[in-house]
Parts: sequence; structure tokens; C-alpha cells
Amino acid sequence: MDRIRLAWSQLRQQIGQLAVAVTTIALGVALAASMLLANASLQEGFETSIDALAGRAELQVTSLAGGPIDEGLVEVVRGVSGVRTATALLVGSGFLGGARNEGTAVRVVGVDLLDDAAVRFYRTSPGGPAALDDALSFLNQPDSAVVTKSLAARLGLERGDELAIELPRGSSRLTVRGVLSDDGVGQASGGKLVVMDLYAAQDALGMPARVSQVDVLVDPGVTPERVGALLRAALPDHVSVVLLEDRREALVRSVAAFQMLLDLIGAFALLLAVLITGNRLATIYQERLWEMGVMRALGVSRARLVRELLLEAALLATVAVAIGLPIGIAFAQIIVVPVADTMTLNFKEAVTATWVAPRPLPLLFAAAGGVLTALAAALFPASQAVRKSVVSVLARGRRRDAVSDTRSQKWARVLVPILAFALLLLQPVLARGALDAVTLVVIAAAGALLLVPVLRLAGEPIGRLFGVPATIGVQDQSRTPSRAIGAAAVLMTGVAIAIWIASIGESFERYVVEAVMKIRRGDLVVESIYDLGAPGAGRPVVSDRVVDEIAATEGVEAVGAYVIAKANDPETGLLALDPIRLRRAEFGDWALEPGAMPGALELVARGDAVLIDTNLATQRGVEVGRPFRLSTPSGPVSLPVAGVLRTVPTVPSGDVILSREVYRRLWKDATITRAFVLVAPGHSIDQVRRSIQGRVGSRYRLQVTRLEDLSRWFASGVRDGFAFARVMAVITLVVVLFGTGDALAANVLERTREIGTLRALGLSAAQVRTMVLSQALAIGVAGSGLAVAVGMGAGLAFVWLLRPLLGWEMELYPTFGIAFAGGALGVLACVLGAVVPAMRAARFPPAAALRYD
Amino acid sequence: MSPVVQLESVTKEYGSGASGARAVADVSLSVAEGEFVSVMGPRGCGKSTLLNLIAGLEVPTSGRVLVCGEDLSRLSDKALSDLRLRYLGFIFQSFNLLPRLTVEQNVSWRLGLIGVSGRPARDRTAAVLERMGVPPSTWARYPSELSGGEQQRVAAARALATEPKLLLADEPTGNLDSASGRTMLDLLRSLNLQRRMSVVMATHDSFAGTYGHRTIRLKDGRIVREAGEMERSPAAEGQVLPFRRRGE
Ligand SMILES: Nc1ncnc2c1ncn2[C@@H]1O[C@H](COP(=O)(O)OP(=O)(O)O)[C@@H](O)[C@H]1O
Ligand SMILES: [Mg+2]
Repeated sequence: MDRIRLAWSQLRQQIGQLAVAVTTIALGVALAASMLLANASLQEGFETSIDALAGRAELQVTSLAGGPIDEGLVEVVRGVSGVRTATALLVGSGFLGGARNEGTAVRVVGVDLLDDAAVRFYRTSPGGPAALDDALSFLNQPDSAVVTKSLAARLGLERGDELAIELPRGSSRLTVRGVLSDDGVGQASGGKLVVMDLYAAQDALGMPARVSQVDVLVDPGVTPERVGALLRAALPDHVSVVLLEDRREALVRSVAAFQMLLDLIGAFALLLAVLITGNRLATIYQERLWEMGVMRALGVSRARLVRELLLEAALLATVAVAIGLPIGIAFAQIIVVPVADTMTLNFKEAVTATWVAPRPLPLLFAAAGGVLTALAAALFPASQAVRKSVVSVLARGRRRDAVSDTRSQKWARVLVPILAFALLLLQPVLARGALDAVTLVVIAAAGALLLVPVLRLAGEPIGRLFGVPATIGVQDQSRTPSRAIGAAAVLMTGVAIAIWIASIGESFERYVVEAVMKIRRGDLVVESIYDLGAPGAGRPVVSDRVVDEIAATEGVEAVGAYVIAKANDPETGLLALDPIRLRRAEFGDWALEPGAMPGALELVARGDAVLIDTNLATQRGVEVGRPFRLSTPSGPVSLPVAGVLRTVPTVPSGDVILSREVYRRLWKDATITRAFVLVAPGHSIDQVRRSIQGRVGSRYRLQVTRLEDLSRWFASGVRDGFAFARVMAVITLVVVLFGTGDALAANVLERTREIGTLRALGLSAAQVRTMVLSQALAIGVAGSGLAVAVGMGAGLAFVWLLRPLLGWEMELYPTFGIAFAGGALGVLACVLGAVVPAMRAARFPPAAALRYD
Repeated sequence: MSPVVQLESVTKEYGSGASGARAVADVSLSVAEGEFVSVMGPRGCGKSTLLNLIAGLEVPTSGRVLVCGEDLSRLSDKALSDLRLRYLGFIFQSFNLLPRLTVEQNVSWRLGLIGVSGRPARDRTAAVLERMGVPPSTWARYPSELSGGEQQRVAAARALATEPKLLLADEPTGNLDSASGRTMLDLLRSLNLQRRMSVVMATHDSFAGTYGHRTIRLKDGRIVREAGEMERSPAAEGQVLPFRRRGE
């Protein structure tokens, strides 16, 4: 107790000096806590979202190709032995209120209310059970709807109110007969959910006698695997039976890489805190070196002194954690929305983002991280401080000695950067995995080792540029660089992290937009008004008769449509294209990866082969020339792979690209997802757009958009999805500003005696200011320059590391804009951070500065 | 009975070769329990270095230093620290009070390390501060708020609070006026008598230099004269120690 009190009274005296250290640890803890909390919350949201509609079901029966199945199959399922309950659902999408950008996309779910299990599962919120209890009255009125509590609150709806909704069969006015609580099924689609009676929904969604899925619970004592096998035997080939556990696992695995990214950002926040705090503590210990000498002379052992210092650091961390955790909890609420959007966008599964509960485990982790941060930050400077001989410390006070490299350091400064560069160059050739992680570490080490020589290098021209005081300043700095190196290290790490985050985000964005849009070209795009990009809402399709009608419109030169579907067992995305889309370059850039068959596109257009995307190629080891097997409603089919295409697949496991004629024949499906239109020369695009809108728009409930607008809309959606990356980059830069300013202040403090001497020898206050600012500039140039190299290198290595995890064949785009901006901001942060220390240094009275010992 | 301090041909050089300076040259010295030894000589003659060697703060270039029978060169950092903590008191030439601790804390923190804490520690701190004549009104203040003389007394209180067996005092009167200097010396002498605490005191002041059983004169790191001055040594009156005659 006494020891803690003593440590505390030591700390309290230096609270001003430690404020920055406390702030950075607190910020690091806050950032780590918020990342971990948001992550845990999103993970749960994601799993809930996957689970919500299937509920406790163990097996799910769906169409192999996607789309609905015949409702007669529900009875077949119920007849299979081992099936306890089988609940049928019809899922579609609707649109509340007015136009695309004003209204809300909602998921419309039809539920069989005569089915007890269903009613029990889709329970209503407290206070409103009457509506569903009275199932028959619900059934008697086909305009009945149940909405989620959150949706009701958002739209200001109460029981008995009317709900205007656009459905595939036309505008409807439904009556709200019940409110669904926000747990259970209410969590699906982020609460944007309208539940109707199954038969009313079949009618309104234009799918009579069809259901989307049958959720199965098995009898006690029977394994789902066993029942699944029986179901597969009993059901026709075009129906798939999946174990929900497998599906859930696959989905959760697909977000693992993304979550790793979040955790890494949290870890980096703490790393930055270690650097800034370590720097600050080193300064404080340097100042207290003499004090420590006294204590050692009076009988305190080295080990005990280190323990005392660590105790102080732990106390410091406790204060910081106490400040940081509440901030982290608050911060989690802010970031969870953009992060959830990012996940929704990337994983095509609605992730609910609401209030993030302060879970104990993530908070504990963050708190432990904070304390460890402080201890790690204290350990090195503390053991350095106690290593000095007592007498020399007592005699020398706070003077410093020049340091010079040992031989091994000299070699390391040359060899490690060369190794880092070589590893980066060899990256595409070498195997992936552990080596990428090693590369990341070597890059970071190279950056750290290069700080001293680069600082020296940067000092030369700056000294020459700003005159004698600057020359003295940068020379002194490169002779005894401890604090300057600290500042440059903080700057380098922070800016490198900011560049790393920003360039990963930017690469994701650019990759997604470019890869998606390059095979979706034309002048106009025609699609159902229900395709609102609502995740999980299923893709609204339109009859392909619309293609002929568009083609017959005045001013239309060509129309090419595609349909997006899915084959199960194993899950494969299907992108079925009209042959014209492969034959005319205006519809898309079909540059295939090297090694494609000659005339590959024509083979696919003719229906004799398929293309696969890079993800499918790597994940399943499929090669060009080999037959690719697909299970279709008409039975298994094998088509040779003609080539590999780099794109963002419609499902995480990868896509097969085939002719729509093949698809229509084998899947017996004559719908399209989108049609692209080329406008004939001499016709105005807008004119043609209006003609198509007038001719087929209202009849088929279609919207006609200029492709540029679609592209821009899509890009902005993606950009919103990565908003959090920019937020993180900005926060990092702010922390860097603090940390660098702090390190520069320490740098000046440590040179107080030199500054006093210089002033006594006739340097003016203004010259001292110039000197300090040019020191900062040298630090800024060195730190930021290295940050650009390290940030880009780490980004590159990380993308390679990410690829197998994410399943996307993503590239790192050379984001020179970001690198330049990051570097410039780093230099600016450094010079700005030096303003206050420079003014303080200029104001030191020379005599006092000399006496300062 | 083994001497409290024993130096065997101790030499301390700073630097090496031609540029090297001998701060202490071939000094052999033995201090018995309860003995008060004054080390006298002009500034730069090696007094502080000698005390530092005894405290194990400096490592001799050659020769051996034994304190309480222990060869310092054989002790680990922990054992050496423990020796300093439990057996040694050191009054530095320039106080070396910890600036961020109050007067009271400056004295009491070492007590905490030897397992005296809480009320007994407070009592002992108060007693030693009172004994050293530090006014209670200053106990809660920081060293920078004290006069030089007061700081000197706090530094002495810190050294004496742990009731050391051996006190090393480096110019303990250097910052005091002659009256306070005398009080301090009287105090050291009475403690030496009452507790049989051995004292090695360095001073360049000839009045202070005669305050002990024995006076050792140093010049350029060498012992030039050793004198036991019975008539000036109050300790001798109590017949605590035999004293050596001139030239012995
Ligand atoms: N750390 C050191 N490095 C070099 N020389 C030193 C050091 N400490 C002391 N000296 C030299 O040793 C000699 C003795 O110094 P010191 O013991 O402090 O003398 P005193 O305490 O008698 O004034 C002096 O000449 C001094 O310059
Ligand atoms: Mg001295």
C-alpha cells in the first residue's frame, strides 16, 4: 500500500508531463475496446441475421438454383421420417413509400399461420400478442401485415394503421395487425421486415403456390445428417437440402478476414500507444536518471527500481484505462454503423447495427492491452535507465553523450532493408501464408533501422537550406538522436498505419468498383425497381420477354441481359449472359487471365464452354481445359472451362459464367436480373431512356438508369461501405499529431542545456525557433518518407496475406494519392507539433537553461 | 572483531594510460566498529571517490574493499543494494533529496524498504527529523522550498533514519554556516557515541577535520598523514576506542 502511495505521489507530480502519455494510452484503449466491442457485436449480429429466418431449424430445403420451389414439396418433407416440424416461408422484397432513393427496401416474408411451430417462433412483442393469436382473423384478411417494432417506430405505425408498399404485383395497402419484437425473426434484414400470411404473400409477390424455403426441425434422437439424407432421397433433384450448421460456419468463416482487419486496427492502436508512451517515459526517466542514481546509492537495487517504475507505469495505465474504456464504449456506438454497412456490403448479408453492449470480455482485453501497453512502454526505458552507473549519473546530471552504432547495428541497417525489399519483390513467386507475415515484420523492422541514417540524410539539406542555427540543430540531433528517433518512430508508425489502412480501404473500393463494372457496360441499364441493393432480399427478376420489347424500342441498337443465380452442392454463383454480351466489347471488358483457350469467349457464347472467376479457380483448383461439373435441375452437366476471369463473384466461393441460353435450357428459368442497352448512333441516350421507360417501365415495374448513374451510385455505395477505413485513418493521424508533438517537446526539453549554451553564446530567440523547427522538419521528412515506404510495403504484403483469407483475388492499387497525402500530412503534423516546443525553447532564459541540471 | 571497513591497497583510476588520472592511489585503511574517521584534504584530492568506493558506488581499479567483512566485488547488485540499505547511511555533498517527495517522504521511503511502514515509520521519521532539528512546519514541503541548511539536515535525517552501522558523510557541513555546522558535527558525534555507529566523514574544513578519533589526510589520492588526536577527540574521553599515536 505504502509503495503504491509513494508511486502515486511520484506520478501526481508529473501528471502534466504524463498527460499526453495517459491520453494516448486512453485513446489506444478506446480504439481497441471499440474495435473489439463492435467486432463482437457485429459477429453476433451477423450470426443472428443468418439465423433469424431459419430460427432453430437444423435443415433447410431450398431450390438448387435459387428462387422458389413448389409448395407441394412441403407435404413431402413432412412425410419423411424423423422430421418433427417443417415450416414453409416465402421470401421476397418490397418497397415502402415513394422512389428509389426516398423509400425503404424491406424484406417481405410469407408465413403459414396455421402452422403452430411457425406461430410460436415468430412471436410478437409484449403487449401485442392478440393479433397473432387470432390467426384466423389474420387469414381472413389478406391485407394483414405484421411489422417489426423498429420499423413501426421508424414509420410511426400503430396497430390498425395502413402501410403503403410496392410489391411485384402492384401497389398495396396493408393493415398493420401486429408488431413483432426485435429479437428472434425481427432481427432478420436489420429489422426491415414485413410479415404476411403465406397465401397473401404468394399472391402479392406474384409467386402462386411457391415457397422459398422449408425449415426443418428433426425428432429427438435422430441426427440432422440422417434426416438430411432421407430428405435428399425423397425430394427431386432440383431441390437442395443443407445442414444449417455447415452454412453458418461457411458464412462465419467468410467474415473472419474482415474481423481480423478490425482486430489488427485495434492492435495497431495499442502499438502506437506503446511507442508514444515509451517515448514519453524515456524522457521522464532521463530526467529522473539522477534521482534514480540517488535511490540506487541509498540502497535500492536495480531490480527493485525497475519494479517501482513498472508499478508507476501500471498506475498510469489504470488511469488511462479508466478514461479509455468509457470512450471506447461510446466510440463503438459510432463506428458500428459504418462497419456494419461495410460488412453488409461485402458479405451480402444484412448485419444489424444497433446499440453495442459493453461486453466484459472485450473490455477486459482492451484494459489488459492498455496495462500491457504501459508496461511494455516502460520496460525498455526503465531497464536502460537503471543500467547506468550510479556515480556517473550522479556526477553528470542530465547531460547526454553521443552514441554510435556497433558493427552489427551498422550491418543490420543495410541488410534488413535489402531483405525487406527482396521479400516484397519475391512475394508473387513465393508461397503465401506465414511468409507474408514474416514480410510484414521485416518491413517494419527495416523502417525502424533506417530511421537513424534517414534522419541524418534528411538533416543535411535542411541544415543547408535554413542557415547556421538549423545546421547546428540537425547536427546535434543526429549525434544524440534518442528523442528525435522517438518522434520519428511515432510519426513513421502512425503515418504508415494511416497509409496502410487508407490504401487497403481504397484498394477494396477500387477493386470492387472496377471489377464489378468492367463486365457491366452499356449506355442504359434496365432492372426491376425492387433491386435496391437490399442485401439478402433475393434478386428480383423480370421475365426475359422484356428483352425483346426493349430491343424493339426506337433508338435501341442492342440489348444484352444477364441473370444471377446460384447452384448448390457445392455453392457456386451463376452469371448467365446473353451471348451478345460476350461478343460486343461495348457490353464489357472480358480480358481473361493468361492461358485461356483460343476463342474462349466465342465458345462460351455458343454454349460449348464456361468461364470461371479467379476465386473459384484458386479455391477449387479448377484449370482451363478441364470439364466443370454443375448440378442443375435437369441433372448434372459438365462443360469445359475456357478461361479464367478476374472479378468480384456474386457469392464468396466464386462464380461460373455461362451463356444464358444454356442456363434457360438447363435450369428451365426464363428470367433476367438486368438488361443492358446500347443506344444507336444519332439517338439521345436520355430520349431512348424515356422511350423504354414509357414502353415497358410501368408494365414490368422497371427502372431505366443511365449506366454512368448506376456506376456512380454503386461506387458511392462501396465508398460508404469503407467509410470506417477513412475514419480510422483520420483518427490515427490525430493521434500521430499528439504523439509527435509530445516527442518533439521531449526532444527540446532534453536539449535545454544546449539551448541555454547557444543562447548564452549569442543565438537569438528567433534563431532558436528556427533551429527547433528545422529539427522537426528533418524528423518529419525522415519519418514520413519512411512511413510512405513502410505503409505501402505493408499494404502490399497484407493484401497477399488477405487474399486466401478473403477469397477475393484483390490487388493493391498503387494509391500514390493517399501515400502523398499521408506523407505530406505527416510532415505537417510534425512541424505543427513543433510550434509550441519551439516557442518554449525560444523563451528559455539562458541562465536558467544553463542551470537546469 | 573484524573492522567495519577495510580497504586493501585500493586504487581508482579514471580513464586509462597516460591520460588516466588516479583519484585514489594505493590506499589501505581500516575502520573499526564505533570509530569516527575524518578524511581531510583539499578539493579534488579524492575524498568523494574514497567514500564512493566504500559505498560500492565505484569499483576499484585494483585492491579490495570490504564492508562488514564482505568483499564488495563479490556481491550481486541485489546484495550490494541490501548492504547500502541496511548497514550504510550516506550523506551526499549536494543533498540529493528527491525533488518530487515531501521532506517527510524523503526520509520515510527507505524505511518502507526495510519493512518499517505505517505508524512506526511515521514515528521514527518524526523522531529523526526532530532530532536533526528540522522544524515540523517544513515536513510537508518539498525540498526546493527549503533553505540549504534545512536540506542538509533532511539529507542527514534520511541517512540516519534506518539506524545504519556505518555512516558515510561527504562534506556534511559544506553548506552550513559555522554554528549549524557545529551542531551537525555534535550530532554525528553523539550518535557515534550512543549507538556505536561508525562514521567516515570527508571534509576540506580543518575544524571539522579534527572531529573524530582519527584524521586521515589525503593528497592527490594518497594518504599523507594519519593522526589520532586524543586531546581533540571527545570519543576518546569515553574510552570507547584505543587511539593511535602520531606516526604509528
Ligand atoms: N567520473 C570521473 N571521471 C574522471 N575523473 C574523475 C571522476 N570523478 C572524480 N574524478 C577526478 O578524481 C579526482 C578526485 O575527485 P573527488 O573524489 O571528487 O575529490 P574531492 O571529493 O576530494 O573533491 C579529481 O581530480 C577529479 O577530477
Ligand atoms: Mg568531493
